[in-house]
Amino acid sequence: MTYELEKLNNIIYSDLDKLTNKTNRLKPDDIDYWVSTIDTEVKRIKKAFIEVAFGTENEKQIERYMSHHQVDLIRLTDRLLHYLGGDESLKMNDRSNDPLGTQLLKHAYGFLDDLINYLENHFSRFFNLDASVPRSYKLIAIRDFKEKLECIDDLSHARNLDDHLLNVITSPLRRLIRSKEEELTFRKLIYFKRLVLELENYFKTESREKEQVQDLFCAMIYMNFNSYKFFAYCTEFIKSQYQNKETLTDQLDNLALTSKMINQTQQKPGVAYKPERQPIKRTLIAWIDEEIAFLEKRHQLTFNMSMPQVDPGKDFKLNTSLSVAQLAYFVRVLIEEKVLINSNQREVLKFFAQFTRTKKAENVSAESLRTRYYNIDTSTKEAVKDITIKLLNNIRKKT
Amino acid sequence: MSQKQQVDINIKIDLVNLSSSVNGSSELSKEKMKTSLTVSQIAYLAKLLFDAELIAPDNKSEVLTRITNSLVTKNATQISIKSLKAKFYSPDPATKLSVKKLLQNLLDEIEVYN
Repeated sequence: MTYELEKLNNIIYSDLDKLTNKTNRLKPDDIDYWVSTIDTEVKRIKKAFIEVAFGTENEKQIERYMSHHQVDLIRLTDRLLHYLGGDESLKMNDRSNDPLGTQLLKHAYGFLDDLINYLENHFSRFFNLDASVPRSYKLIAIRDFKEKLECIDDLSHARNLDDHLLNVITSPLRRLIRSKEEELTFRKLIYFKRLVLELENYFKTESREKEQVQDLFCAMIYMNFNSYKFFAYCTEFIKSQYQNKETLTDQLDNLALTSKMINQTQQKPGVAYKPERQPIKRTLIAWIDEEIAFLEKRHQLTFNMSMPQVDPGKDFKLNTSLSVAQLAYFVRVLIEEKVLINSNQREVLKFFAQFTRTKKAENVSAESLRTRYYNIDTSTKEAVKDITIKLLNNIRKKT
Repeated sequence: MSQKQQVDINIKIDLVNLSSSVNGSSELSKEKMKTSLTVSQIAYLAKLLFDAELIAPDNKSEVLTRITNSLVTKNATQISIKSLKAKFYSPDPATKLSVKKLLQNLLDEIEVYN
Protein backbone atom coordinates (compact mmCIF):
# COMPACT_ATOMS: atom_id res chain seq x y z
CA MET A 1 0.00 0.00 0.00
CA THR A 2 1.68 3.24 -1.11
CA TYR A 3 0.85 6.91 -1.31
CA GLU A 4 -0.39 7.41 -4.87
CA LEU A 5 -0.70 11.18 -5.10
CA GLU A 6 3.00 12.07 -5.02
CA LYS A 7 3.20 12.89 -8.75
CA LEU A 8 -0.12 14.81 -8.82
CA ASN A 9 1.07 16.71 -5.77
CA ASN A 10 4.27 17.78 -7.58
CA ILE A 11 2.39 18.71 -10.75
CA ILE A 12 -0.11 20.88 -8.89
CA TYR A 13 2.14 22.47 -6.29
CA SER A 14 5.15 22.99 -8.52
CA ASP A 15 4.57 22.66 -12.29
CA LEU A 16 1.09 24.17 -12.58
CA ASP A 17 1.96 26.89 -10.08
CA LYS A 18 4.91 27.96 -12.27
CA LEU A 19 3.12 27.48 -15.59
CA THR A 20 0.07 29.47 -14.67
CA ASN A 21 2.22 32.32 -13.36
CA LYS A 22 3.60 32.65 -16.89
CA THR A 23 0.29 32.32 -18.64
CA ASN A 24 1.32 34.20 -21.74
CA ARG A 25 4.07 31.75 -22.62
CA LEU A 26 1.75 28.75 -22.61
CA LYS A 27 1.00 27.20 -25.98
CA PRO A 28 -1.86 24.88 -26.95
CA ASP A 29 0.72 22.05 -27.21
CA ASP A 30 1.69 22.63 -23.57
CA ILE A 31 -1.93 22.27 -22.57
CA ASP A 32 -2.19 18.99 -24.51
CA TYR A 33 0.97 17.69 -22.85
CA TRP A 34 -0.14 18.46 -19.31
CA VAL A 35 -3.71 17.28 -19.88
CA SER A 36 -2.38 13.99 -21.22
CA THR A 37 0.13 13.66 -18.31
CA ILE A 38 -2.54 14.25 -15.69
CA ASP A 39 -5.01 11.97 -17.47
CA THR A 40 -2.44 9.11 -17.53
CA GLU A 41 -1.64 9.67 -13.86
CA VAL A 42 -5.31 9.68 -12.86
CA LYS A 43 -5.88 6.41 -14.75
CA ARG A 44 -2.87 4.88 -12.95
CA ILE A 45 -4.22 6.01 -9.57
CA LYS A 46 -7.65 4.50 -10.29
CA LYS A 47 -5.95 1.20 -11.08
CA ALA A 48 -3.92 1.41 -7.86
CA PHE A 49 -7.14 1.98 -5.84
CA ILE A 50 -8.68 -1.14 -7.37
CA GLU A 51 -5.58 -3.19 -6.60
CA VAL A 52 -5.65 -2.11 -2.97
CA ALA A 53 -9.40 -2.71 -2.60
CA PHE A 54 -9.20 -6.22 -4.04
CA GLY A 55 -5.77 -7.17 -2.78
CA THR A 56 -6.04 -6.20 0.90
CA GLU A 57 -7.90 -8.29 3.42
CA ASN A 58 -7.86 -5.86 6.30
CA GLU A 59 -10.85 -3.56 5.77
CA LYS A 60 -9.59 -1.04 8.34
CA GLN A 61 -6.41 -0.62 6.32
CA ILE A 62 -8.40 -0.08 3.10
CA GLU A 63 -10.62 2.44 4.89
CA ARG A 64 -7.61 4.38 6.19
CA TYR A 65 -5.92 4.26 2.78
CA MET A 66 -9.00 5.52 0.91
CA SER A 67 -9.73 8.16 3.53
CA HIS A 68 -6.18 9.59 3.38
CA HIS A 69 -6.30 9.72 -0.41
CA GLN A 70 -9.76 11.31 -0.33
CA VAL A 71 -8.63 14.06 2.07
CA ASP A 72 -5.50 14.71 0.03
CA LEU A 73 -7.40 14.84 -3.26
CA ILE A 74 -9.71 17.44 -1.72
CA ARG A 75 -6.67 19.41 -0.57
CA LEU A 76 -5.33 19.36 -4.15
CA THR A 77 -8.64 20.51 -5.66
CA ASP A 78 -8.72 23.33 -3.10
CA ARG A 79 -5.21 24.31 -4.21
CA LEU A 80 -6.30 24.44 -7.85
CA LEU A 81 -9.28 26.57 -6.89
CA HIS A 82 -6.90 28.86 -5.03
CA TYR A 83 -4.95 29.41 -8.29
CA LEU A 84 -8.20 29.90 -10.22
CA GLY A 85 -9.93 32.19 -7.72
CA GLY A 86 -13.10 31.13 -5.86
CA ASP A 87 -15.58 32.53 -8.41
CA GLU A 88 -14.31 30.18 -11.09
CA SER A 89 -15.78 27.20 -9.21
CA LEU A 90 -19.21 28.32 -10.41
CA LYS A 91 -18.18 28.20 -14.09
CA MET A 92 -15.86 25.23 -14.14
CA ASN A 93 -17.39 23.75 -17.32
CA ASP A 94 -17.17 26.97 -19.32
CA ARG A 95 -13.61 27.20 -20.69
CA SER A 96 -14.16 28.71 -24.13
CA ASN A 97 -13.15 32.29 -23.35
CA ASP A 98 -10.55 31.52 -20.68
CA PRO A 99 -6.83 32.20 -21.09
CA LEU A 100 -4.77 29.04 -21.68
CA GLY A 101 -3.50 28.93 -18.08
CA THR A 102 -7.05 28.98 -16.69
CA GLN A 103 -8.10 26.34 -19.20
CA LEU A 104 -5.28 24.07 -18.04
CA LEU A 105 -6.20 24.56 -14.36
CA LYS A 106 -9.85 23.79 -15.12
CA HIS A 107 -8.86 20.63 -17.00
CA ALA A 108 -6.72 19.54 -14.03
CA TYR A 109 -9.59 20.34 -11.68
CA GLY A 110 -11.95 18.22 -13.79
CA PHE A 111 -9.61 15.20 -13.54
CA LEU A 112 -9.31 15.51 -9.76
CA ASP A 113 -13.03 15.98 -9.33
CA ASP A 114 -13.56 12.86 -11.44
CA LEU A 115 -11.16 10.97 -9.16
CA ILE A 116 -13.06 12.06 -6.03
CA ASN A 117 -16.33 10.96 -7.68
CA TYR A 118 -14.68 7.68 -8.60
CA LEU A 119 -13.78 7.09 -4.94
CA GLU A 120 -17.31 8.03 -3.86
CA ASN A 121 -19.04 5.81 -6.42
CA HIS A 122 -16.79 2.75 -6.50
CA PHE A 123 -15.64 2.63 -2.89
CA SER A 124 -18.66 4.20 -1.19
CA ARG A 125 -18.24 1.89 1.81
CA PHE A 126 -14.83 3.41 2.52
CA PHE A 127 -15.75 6.98 1.57
CA ASN A 128 -15.34 9.27 4.55
CA LEU A 129 -18.57 11.25 4.85
CA ASP A 130 -17.16 13.20 7.78
CA ALA A 131 -14.36 14.71 5.71
CA SER A 132 -14.70 18.32 4.57
CA VAL A 133 -16.09 18.78 1.07
CA PRO A 134 -13.94 20.49 -1.60
CA ARG A 135 -14.18 24.27 -1.43
CA SER A 136 -15.87 24.37 -4.83
CA TYR A 137 -18.70 22.10 -3.60
CA LYS A 138 -19.18 24.46 -0.69
CA LEU A 139 -19.33 27.57 -2.90
CA ILE A 140 -21.83 25.90 -5.23
CA ALA A 141 -23.93 24.71 -2.26
CA ILE A 142 -23.94 28.22 -0.76
CA ARG A 143 -25.11 29.71 -4.07
CA ASP A 144 -27.89 27.10 -4.42
CA PHE A 145 -29.04 27.33 -0.79
CA LYS A 146 -29.14 31.12 -1.01
CA GLU A 147 -31.48 30.96 -4.02
CA LYS A 148 -33.70 28.31 -2.47
CA LEU A 149 -33.92 30.06 0.91
CA GLU A 150 -35.15 33.24 -0.76
CA CYS A 151 -37.92 31.19 -2.32
CA ILE A 152 -38.73 29.45 0.98
CA ASP A 153 -38.83 32.83 2.80
CA ASP A 154 -41.38 34.16 0.30
CA LEU A 155 -43.58 31.07 0.59
CA SER A 156 -43.36 31.22 4.36
CA HIS A 157 -44.48 34.88 4.47
CA ALA A 158 -47.35 34.06 2.12
CA ARG A 159 -48.48 31.41 4.58
CA ASN A 160 -48.02 33.60 7.66
CA LEU A 161 -45.75 31.03 9.23
CA ASP A 162 -44.05 32.10 12.47
CA ASP A 163 -40.77 33.82 11.47
CA HIS A 164 -39.04 32.51 14.56
CA LEU A 165 -39.88 28.90 13.65
CA LEU A 166 -38.58 29.39 10.11
CA ASN A 167 -35.38 30.95 11.48
CA VAL A 168 -34.87 28.04 13.87
CA ILE A 169 -35.23 25.51 11.06
CA THR A 170 -33.13 27.36 8.51
CA SER A 171 -30.48 28.72 10.90
CA PRO A 172 -27.84 26.04 10.03
CA LEU A 173 -28.22 26.96 6.32
CA ARG A 174 -28.10 30.70 7.02
CA ARG A 175 -25.02 30.22 9.20
CA LEU A 176 -23.30 28.37 6.36
CA ILE A 177 -24.15 31.16 3.91
CA ARG A 178 -23.01 33.89 6.34
CA SER A 179 -19.76 32.34 7.51
CA LYS A 180 -17.62 30.98 4.73
CA GLU A 181 -15.26 29.48 7.33
CA GLU A 182 -17.97 27.17 8.72
CA GLU A 183 -16.86 23.55 8.20
CA LEU A 184 -18.99 21.57 5.74
CA THR A 185 -18.62 17.80 5.63
CA PHE A 186 -20.07 15.49 2.99
CA ARG A 187 -22.53 14.17 5.58
CA LYS A 188 -23.70 17.69 6.46
CA LEU A 189 -23.99 18.69 2.81
CA ILE A 190 -26.13 15.63 2.04
CA TYR A 191 -28.31 16.42 5.06
CA PHE A 192 -28.72 20.10 4.10
CA LYS A 193 -29.72 19.17 0.54
CA ARG A 194 -32.39 16.79 1.88
CA LEU A 195 -33.54 19.40 4.40
CA VAL A 196 -34.01 22.01 1.68
CA LEU A 197 -35.85 19.46 -0.47
CA GLU A 198 -38.11 18.58 2.46
CA LEU A 199 -38.85 22.28 3.10
CA GLU A 200 -39.64 22.82 -0.59
CA ASN A 201 -42.02 19.84 -0.52
CA TYR A 202 -43.65 21.14 2.64
CA PHE A 203 -44.32 24.55 1.11
CA LYS A 204 -45.56 23.01 -2.13
CA THR A 205 -48.15 20.95 -0.25
CA GLU A 206 -51.40 22.61 0.78
CA SER A 207 -51.87 22.65 4.54
CA ARG A 208 -54.69 24.02 6.67
CA GLU A 209 -53.60 27.05 8.70
CA LYS A 210 -54.34 25.32 11.99
CA GLU A 211 -52.23 22.32 11.10
CA GLN A 212 -49.34 23.96 9.31
CA VAL A 213 -47.06 24.14 12.37
CA GLN A 214 -47.77 20.49 13.23
CA ASP A 215 -47.13 19.51 9.60
CA LEU A 216 -43.80 21.31 9.67
CA PHE A 217 -42.92 19.58 12.97
CA CYS A 218 -43.69 16.23 11.31
CA ALA A 219 -41.47 17.10 8.35
CA MET A 220 -38.64 18.04 10.71
CA ILE A 221 -39.11 14.89 12.82
CA TYR A 222 -38.98 12.92 9.57
CA MET A 223 -35.66 14.63 8.84
CA ASN A 224 -34.54 14.04 12.46
CA PHE A 225 -33.70 17.74 12.80
CA ASN A 226 -32.30 17.31 16.32
CA SER A 227 -31.08 20.86 16.95
CA TYR A 228 -31.34 22.20 20.51
CA LYS A 229 -33.11 25.33 19.25
CA PHE A 230 -35.74 23.27 17.45
CA PHE A 231 -36.23 21.06 20.52
CA ALA A 232 -36.72 24.20 22.64
CA TYR A 233 -39.22 25.61 20.13
CA CYS A 234 -41.20 22.35 20.04
CA THR A 235 -41.37 22.03 23.83
CA GLU A 236 -42.47 25.65 24.21
CA PHE A 237 -45.15 25.07 21.57
CA ILE A 238 -46.38 21.83 23.19
CA LYS A 239 -46.39 23.54 26.60
CA SER A 240 -48.44 26.47 25.31
CA GLN A 241 -50.91 24.05 23.71
CA TYR A 242 -51.53 21.90 26.76
CA GLN A 243 -51.52 24.76 29.27
CA ASN A 244 -54.37 26.34 27.33
CA LYS A 245 -56.58 23.44 28.33
CA GLU A 246 -58.87 24.11 31.24
CA THR A 247 -58.74 20.88 33.23
CA LEU A 248 -55.94 18.56 34.20
CA THR A 249 -57.69 15.73 32.34
CA ASP A 250 -57.70 17.80 29.17
CA GLN A 251 -54.06 18.74 29.71
CA LEU A 252 -53.03 15.11 30.13
CA ASP A 253 -55.20 14.17 27.18
CA ASN A 254 -53.55 16.83 25.03
CA LEU A 255 -50.06 15.65 26.01
CA ALA A 256 -51.00 12.02 25.35
CA LEU A 257 -52.37 12.96 21.92
CA THR A 258 -49.22 14.93 21.07
CA SER A 259 -47.09 12.01 22.23
CA LYS A 260 -49.11 9.64 20.04
CA MET A 261 -48.74 11.92 17.01
CA ILE A 262 -44.97 12.19 17.47
CA ASN A 263 -44.68 8.44 18.04
CA GLN A 264 -46.59 7.77 14.82
CA THR A 265 -44.47 10.15 12.75
CA GLN A 266 -41.99 8.35 10.52
CA GLN A 267 -38.30 9.13 10.82
CA LYS A 268 -36.07 8.84 7.78
CA PRO A 269 -33.66 5.98 8.55
CA GLY A 270 -30.00 6.85 8.99
CA VAL A 271 -30.56 10.60 8.77
CA ALA A 272 -29.79 13.16 11.47
CA TYR A 273 -28.78 16.82 11.67
CA LYS A 274 -26.42 15.91 14.53
CA PRO A 275 -25.78 12.16 14.28
CA GLU A 276 -24.03 12.05 17.67
CA ARG A 277 -27.16 13.30 19.46
CA GLN A 278 -30.37 11.47 20.41
CA PRO A 279 -33.08 11.56 17.70
CA ILE A 280 -35.51 14.48 18.06
CA LYS A 281 -38.41 12.02 18.21
CA ARG A 282 -36.98 10.28 21.27
CA THR A 283 -36.11 13.50 23.13
CA LEU A 284 -39.58 14.96 22.52
CA ILE A 285 -41.34 11.80 23.71
CA ALA A 286 -39.10 11.72 26.81
CA TRP A 287 -39.89 15.38 27.49
CA ILE A 288 -43.65 14.76 27.20
CA ASP A 289 -43.36 11.72 29.49
CA GLU A 290 -41.59 13.87 32.09
CA GLU A 291 -44.27 16.54 31.75
CA ILE A 292 -47.05 13.99 32.27
CA ALA A 293 -45.22 12.46 35.24
CA PHE A 294 -44.75 15.91 36.75
CA LEU A 295 -48.44 16.81 36.38
CA GLU A 296 -49.50 13.55 37.98
CA LYS A 297 -46.97 13.86 40.78
CA ARG A 298 -47.95 17.45 41.55
CA HIS A 299 -51.55 16.41 41.54
CA GLN A 300 -50.83 13.73 44.12
CA LEU A 301 -48.69 16.01 46.29
CA THR A 302 -51.19 18.86 46.22
CA PHE A 303 -54.01 16.77 47.56
CA ASN A 304 -52.01 14.29 49.59
CA MET A 305 -53.95 11.49 48.08
CA SER A 306 -53.89 8.20 49.86
CA MET A 307 -53.08 5.34 47.59
CA PRO A 308 -54.94 2.16 48.36
CA GLN A 309 -52.92 0.02 50.76
CA VAL A 310 -51.52 -3.05 49.15
CA ASP A 311 -50.77 -5.99 51.33
CA PRO A 312 -47.26 -7.01 50.29
CA GLY A 313 -47.77 -10.47 51.70
CA LYS A 314 -50.60 -11.17 49.34
CA ASP A 315 -49.33 -9.33 46.28
CA PHE A 316 -46.91 -11.12 44.04
CA LYS A 317 -43.50 -9.60 43.43
CA LEU A 318 -40.62 -10.83 41.35
CA ASN A 319 -37.41 -10.92 43.40
CA THR A 320 -34.52 -9.85 41.24
CA SER A 321 -30.83 -9.42 41.89
CA LEU A 322 -30.75 -6.49 39.42
CA SER A 323 -30.51 -2.97 40.85
CA VAL A 324 -33.25 -0.46 39.99
CA ALA A 325 -30.93 1.24 37.48
CA GLN A 326 -30.06 -2.09 35.84
CA LEU A 327 -33.72 -3.08 35.72
CA ALA A 328 -34.64 0.26 34.11
CA TYR A 329 -31.92 -0.07 31.50
CA PHE A 330 -32.74 -3.72 30.80
CA VAL A 331 -36.40 -2.78 30.23
CA ARG A 332 -35.25 0.03 27.95
CA VAL A 333 -33.16 -2.34 25.85
CA LEU A 334 -36.12 -4.75 25.63
CA ILE A 335 -38.34 -1.90 24.43
CA GLU A 336 -35.74 -0.60 21.97
CA GLU A 337 -35.25 -4.10 20.61
CA LYS A 338 -39.08 -4.46 20.36
CA VAL A 339 -39.23 -7.49 22.64
CA LEU A 340 -41.79 -5.54 24.68
CA ILE A 341 -44.21 -3.95 22.25
CA ASN A 342 -46.71 -2.04 24.40
CA SER A 343 -47.31 1.34 22.80
CA ASN A 344 -47.27 3.18 26.14
CA GLN A 345 -43.84 2.85 27.69
CA ARG A 346 -44.93 4.61 30.91
CA GLU A 347 -47.36 1.75 31.53
CA VAL A 348 -44.55 -0.76 31.02
CA LEU A 349 -42.44 1.02 33.64
CA LYS A 350 -45.39 1.17 36.04
CA PHE A 351 -45.88 -2.54 35.51
CA PHE A 352 -42.28 -3.37 36.43
CA ALA A 353 -42.38 -0.98 39.38
CA GLN A 354 -45.49 -2.71 40.71
CA PHE A 355 -44.34 -6.28 40.30
CA THR A 356 -40.62 -6.16 41.07
CA ARG A 357 -38.60 -6.20 44.27
CA THR A 358 -34.84 -5.63 44.22
CA LYS A 359 -32.38 -6.54 46.96
CA LYS A 360 -32.30 -2.96 48.18
CA ALA A 361 -35.81 -1.78 47.33
CA GLU A 362 -38.86 -3.61 48.60
CA ASN A 363 -41.00 -1.20 46.59
CA VAL A 364 -39.60 0.14 43.36
CA SER A 365 -41.12 3.52 42.59
CA ALA A 366 -42.29 4.13 39.03
CA GLU A 367 -40.74 7.58 39.26
CA SER A 368 -37.29 6.27 40.15
CA LEU A 369 -37.54 3.63 37.43
CA ARG A 370 -38.50 6.32 34.91
CA THR A 371 -35.64 8.63 35.96
CA ARG A 372 -33.14 5.81 35.57
CA TYR A 373 -34.73 4.77 32.28
CA TYR A 374 -33.72 8.10 30.76
CA ASN A 375 -30.46 8.72 32.65
CA ILE A 376 -28.21 5.74 32.24
CA ASP A 377 -24.71 5.77 33.68
CA THR A 378 -21.76 3.91 32.22
CA SER A 379 -21.47 1.41 35.08
CA THR A 380 -25.13 0.38 34.60
CA LYS A 381 -24.58 -0.12 30.88
CA GLU A 382 -21.51 -2.23 31.60
CA ALA A 383 -23.34 -4.29 34.24
CA VAL A 384 -26.28 -5.03 31.90
CA LYS A 385 -23.84 -5.83 29.12
CA ASP A 386 -22.04 -8.31 31.44
CA ILE A 387 -25.36 -9.88 32.43
CA THR A 388 -26.36 -10.34 28.78
CA ILE A 389 -22.98 -11.89 28.01
CA LYS A 390 -23.43 -14.20 31.02
CA LEU A 391 -26.83 -15.32 29.69
CA LEU A 392 -25.32 -15.92 26.25
CA ASN A 393 -22.50 -17.95 27.78
CA ASN A 394 -25.05 -20.04 29.68
CA ILE A 395 -26.75 -20.88 26.38
CA ARG A 396 -23.43 -21.75 24.77
CA LYS A 397 -22.54 -24.06 27.67
CA LYS A 398 -25.82 -25.93 27.29
CA THR A 399 -25.85 -26.31 23.51
CA MET B 1 -54.52 35.54 36.69
CA SER B 2 -51.30 33.83 35.62
CA GLN B 3 -51.33 30.64 33.64
CA LYS B 4 -49.78 28.68 36.54
CA GLN B 5 -52.55 29.79 38.91
CA GLN B 6 -55.15 28.75 36.37
CA VAL B 7 -53.59 25.32 36.11
CA ASP B 8 -53.57 24.84 39.90
CA ILE B 9 -57.22 25.80 40.22
CA ASN B 10 -58.24 23.52 37.39
CA ILE B 11 -56.46 20.60 39.01
CA LYS B 12 -58.71 21.00 42.08
CA ILE B 13 -61.86 21.15 39.96
CA ASP B 14 -61.04 17.87 38.28
CA LEU B 15 -59.97 15.88 41.30
CA VAL B 16 -63.03 13.66 41.44
CA ASN B 17 -62.83 12.64 37.81
CA LEU B 18 -59.17 11.88 38.03
CA SER B 19 -58.83 9.99 41.27
CA SER B 20 -59.54 6.63 39.70
CA SER B 21 -57.07 7.05 36.87
CA VAL B 22 -54.30 8.35 39.14
CA ASN B 23 -54.79 5.66 41.77
CA GLY B 24 -55.35 3.11 39.06
CA SER B 25 -53.16 0.35 40.54
CA SER B 26 -55.98 -2.16 40.38
CA GLU B 27 -56.52 -1.22 36.76
CA LEU B 28 -52.82 -1.50 36.07
CA SER B 29 -52.55 -4.98 37.51
CA LYS B 30 -55.06 -6.11 34.89
CA GLU B 31 -52.88 -4.66 32.10
CA LYS B 32 -50.80 -7.18 30.22
CA MET B 33 -47.38 -6.75 28.72
CA LYS B 34 -47.28 -7.32 24.99
CA THR B 35 -44.26 -9.15 23.70
CA SER B 36 -42.96 -10.18 20.32
CA LEU B 37 -41.51 -13.37 21.83
CA THR B 38 -43.14 -16.78 21.42
CA VAL B 39 -44.21 -18.86 24.43
CA SER B 40 -41.17 -21.16 23.95
CA GLN B 41 -38.83 -18.15 23.92
CA ILE B 42 -40.47 -16.68 27.05
CA ALA B 43 -40.09 -20.01 28.83
CA TYR B 44 -36.45 -20.41 27.86
CA LEU B 45 -35.58 -16.80 28.70
CA ALA B 46 -37.21 -17.25 32.12
CA LYS B 47 -35.13 -20.40 32.62
CA LEU B 48 -31.94 -18.50 31.76
CA LEU B 49 -32.85 -15.72 34.20
CA PHE B 50 -33.43 -18.28 36.96
CA ASP B 51 -30.22 -20.14 36.16
CA ALA B 52 -28.22 -16.90 36.25
CA GLU B 53 -29.98 -16.04 39.56
CA LEU B 54 -31.25 -12.76 38.17
CA ILE B 55 -34.63 -13.95 39.42
CA ALA B 56 -34.52 -15.47 42.90
CA PRO B 57 -34.98 -19.24 42.51
CA ASP B 58 -37.59 -19.55 45.29
CA ASN B 59 -41.12 -20.19 44.11
CA LYS B 60 -40.54 -20.86 40.43
CA SER B 61 -44.07 -22.05 39.99
CA GLU B 62 -45.58 -18.78 41.21
CA VAL B 63 -43.31 -16.80 38.91
CA LEU B 64 -44.36 -18.91 35.91
CA THR B 65 -48.03 -18.48 36.83
CA ARG B 66 -47.50 -14.73 37.06
CA ILE B 67 -45.84 -14.74 33.64
CA THR B 68 -48.88 -16.46 32.09
CA ASN B 69 -51.15 -13.85 33.72
CA SER B 70 -49.00 -10.88 32.73
CA LEU B 71 -47.82 -11.49 29.20
CA VAL B 72 -49.57 -11.73 25.85
CA THR B 73 -47.79 -12.91 22.74
CA LYS B 74 -48.78 -12.26 19.14
CA ASN B 75 -50.27 -15.75 18.92
CA ALA B 76 -51.59 -16.26 22.45
CA THR B 77 -53.72 -13.79 24.39
CA GLN B 78 -53.75 -16.29 27.25
CA ILE B 79 -50.64 -18.37 27.79
CA SER B 80 -51.34 -21.79 29.24
CA ILE B 81 -49.35 -22.57 32.40
CA LYS B 82 -49.07 -26.20 31.35
CA SER B 83 -47.53 -25.27 28.02
CA LEU B 84 -45.16 -22.72 29.61
CA LYS B 85 -43.95 -25.24 32.20
CA ALA B 86 -43.38 -27.90 29.54
CA LYS B 87 -41.34 -25.48 27.45
CA PHE B 88 -39.51 -24.20 30.56
CA TYR B 89 -38.22 -27.66 31.46
CA SER B 90 -37.64 -28.96 27.89
CA PRO B 91 -36.45 -26.16 25.61
CA ASP B 92 -35.95 -27.22 21.99
CA PRO B 93 -32.76 -26.41 20.00
CA ALA B 94 -34.56 -23.93 17.68
CA THR B 95 -35.76 -21.90 20.67
CA LYS B 96 -32.27 -21.89 22.17
CA LEU B 97 -30.91 -20.60 18.89
CA SER B 98 -33.55 -17.85 18.57
CA VAL B 99 -33.02 -16.68 22.19
CA LYS B 100 -29.29 -16.68 21.57
CA LYS B 101 -29.89 -14.43 18.53
CA LEU B 102 -32.16 -12.21 20.63
CA LEU B 103 -29.51 -11.78 23.34
CA GLN B 104 -26.91 -10.98 20.69
CA ASN B 105 -29.27 -8.29 19.37
CA LEU B 106 -29.68 -6.89 22.89
CA LEU B 107 -25.92 -6.83 23.23
CA ASP B 108 -25.61 -4.96 19.92
CA GLU B 109 -28.23 -2.47 21.12
CA ILE B 110 -26.26 -1.90 24.35
CA GLU B 111 -23.05 -1.42 22.38
CA VAL B 112 -24.77 1.11 20.13
CA TYR B 113 -25.65 3.17 23.24
CA ASN B 114 -22.04 3.01 24.42
